[in-house]
Amino acid sequence: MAGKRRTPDPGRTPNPGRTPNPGRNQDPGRPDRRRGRLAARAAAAARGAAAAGRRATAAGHQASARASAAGRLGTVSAGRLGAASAGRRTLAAGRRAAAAAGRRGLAVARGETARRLGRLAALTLALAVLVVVLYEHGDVPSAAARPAAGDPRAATAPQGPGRAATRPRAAPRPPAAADGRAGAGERTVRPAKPAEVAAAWYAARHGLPRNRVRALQQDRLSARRARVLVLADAGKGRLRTALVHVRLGPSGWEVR
Amino acid sequence: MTLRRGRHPARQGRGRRQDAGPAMATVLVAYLVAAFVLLATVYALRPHRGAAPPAPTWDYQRETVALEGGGGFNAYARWAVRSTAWLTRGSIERQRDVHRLSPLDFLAGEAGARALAGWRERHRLPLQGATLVAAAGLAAWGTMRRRPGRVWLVALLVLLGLTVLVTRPQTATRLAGQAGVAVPNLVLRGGVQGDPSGSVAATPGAGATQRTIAGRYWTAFVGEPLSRLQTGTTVLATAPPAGKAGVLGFVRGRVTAVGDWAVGRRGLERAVIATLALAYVVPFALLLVVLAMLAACAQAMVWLLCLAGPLVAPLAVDPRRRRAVLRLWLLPLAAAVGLLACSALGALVVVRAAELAHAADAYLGMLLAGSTAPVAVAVLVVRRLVRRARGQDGSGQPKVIVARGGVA
Repeated sequence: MAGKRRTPDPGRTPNPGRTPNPGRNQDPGRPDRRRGRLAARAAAAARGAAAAGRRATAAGHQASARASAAGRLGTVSAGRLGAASAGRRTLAAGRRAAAAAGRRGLAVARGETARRLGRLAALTLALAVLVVVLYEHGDVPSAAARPAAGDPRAATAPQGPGRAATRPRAAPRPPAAADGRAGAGERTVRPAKPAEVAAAWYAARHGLPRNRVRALQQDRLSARRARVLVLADAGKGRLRTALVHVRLGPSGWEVR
Repeated sequence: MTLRRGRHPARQGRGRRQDAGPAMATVLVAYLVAAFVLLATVYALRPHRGAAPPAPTWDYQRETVALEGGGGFNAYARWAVRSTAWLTRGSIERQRDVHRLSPLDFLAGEAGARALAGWRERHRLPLQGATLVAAAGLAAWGTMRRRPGRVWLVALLVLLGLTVLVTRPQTATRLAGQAGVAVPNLVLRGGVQGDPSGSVAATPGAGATQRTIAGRYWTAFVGEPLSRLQTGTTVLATAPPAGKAGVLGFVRGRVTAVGDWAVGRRGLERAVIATLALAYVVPFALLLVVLAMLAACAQAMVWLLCLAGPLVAPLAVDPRRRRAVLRLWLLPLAAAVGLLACSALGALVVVRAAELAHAADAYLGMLLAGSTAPVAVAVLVVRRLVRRARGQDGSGQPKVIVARGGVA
């Protein structure tokens, strides 16, 4: 559009940029200059009438630019004027192209595809984080801090389903209360301590005998959490230490 | 007026039922049968032979069932009282197992979960990569496609559920097992609140309550007959098991009649008492064992359906599969929980009824002790008088009307 010459519009000045600038032609004694000033006023009026159109603003800027360029006609030669005008046109065209590309890019960004791509990226990221977290915090394959087979607590503990304890226990038992109520004199199962649980878990995890692992220190982090420092003798002088976190679950202390 | 001929409403309803699949009762029965077969198979194969979760030793486990004396009657009495103790102990322990552990979880679940966790650790990298690729692919399918539908979301949620099961198998099986154990304990805790005997409701916790109830049941059906067999009285019934030998020795040394019972000079009486004790406990013990089996099947159902939850629940996102999820998963789960609760409550009612019936018998026996003959004579006299009075009035006899041609 910038490089094309338009056919003269009857309602406006054929080329408003080339009309004499009324600000520059100040000599009232010369009739040609007066005519030029009148022509400039007419062109300005025509521009005002055409401002109701869609390209009024662009045309106005263009006209004023051309008018200012034409105002310098009296002092600048014709060759220099042509080169400057071409450069400005190129610059304006570049700006317009950049703006159009930006608008197009914005339209694409606001479009359905971009929205879907954004949704896909967010969903994929969330899923990836979820899957990685799940695998990172998965269950430990070994027995979770259950008492070892040789644990003395196992003697008082369990009868499996279907295995009736038909023989009386020979273990000593505190005497019952005088009123004979049930539960009196009950021998409760001693809950495992965090240190024992941690040592048993570490021994089971690393395939070591239980007596080769012992707890050195224990920090109570909260009422339901504790941290135990265990020392394992792996044989041949190899001593290993580890911090084991245990939690108080519904069935006692256990390593999670 | 225009009459439009349409389908009969009853036919419409029948058609809908046919489209909806099998009836709820059919689904429940099929699930229960499947759970029973699975449980029986697991019991038969016994993949897990490790130790069960710890459980305190109750008094009935310390009881020594022994009778001195020779001869056929004593031998029979010994067998009968041991059978009584075995039946009572078995019924108590089946009920304890219901309140303590989920059988399928204990026998197969824990070991399977541990094996699955080990397998996951060994193949962690390809598993995690494949999961990520599948999740990204499903997300791309769901977000970039143009056609509406939620199949991709269902598949994605199922994949996530499967990932949860694979990464946390032990937690999943433990929680599913706890769900099956929590229901009977809750029922027991709530059931004893309505018990007329305040002493049962006063014991805190489901375990202590169950221990109290089981102790009374044992005392009524084993402790008292055993005491009668050993001493001729119920003096040993409520003695602590560890002190029974001492109490018996003390009483034997001072009462000659007790010594006769203790050494087995009352073989015939022993045989009668032991037979009646065995006959008394059999129906209650069988009922308790049946209820425990039902509860075990319900627990297996709850365990399986809870474990299937992460895989099945996402299907409800798709409206077309919502009805199937409801019919084949959610309602059976609720029904299994209800069945578990009913069986636990039924067991509580049976134990209390047995205990109360036996207590009433013992109370009546105490009142009639030494006075049975006069009471029997009085009963016979009263009965005869009543019959005679009915005969005089004629109201007791049915009126016979003789009509021509037959009797009306």
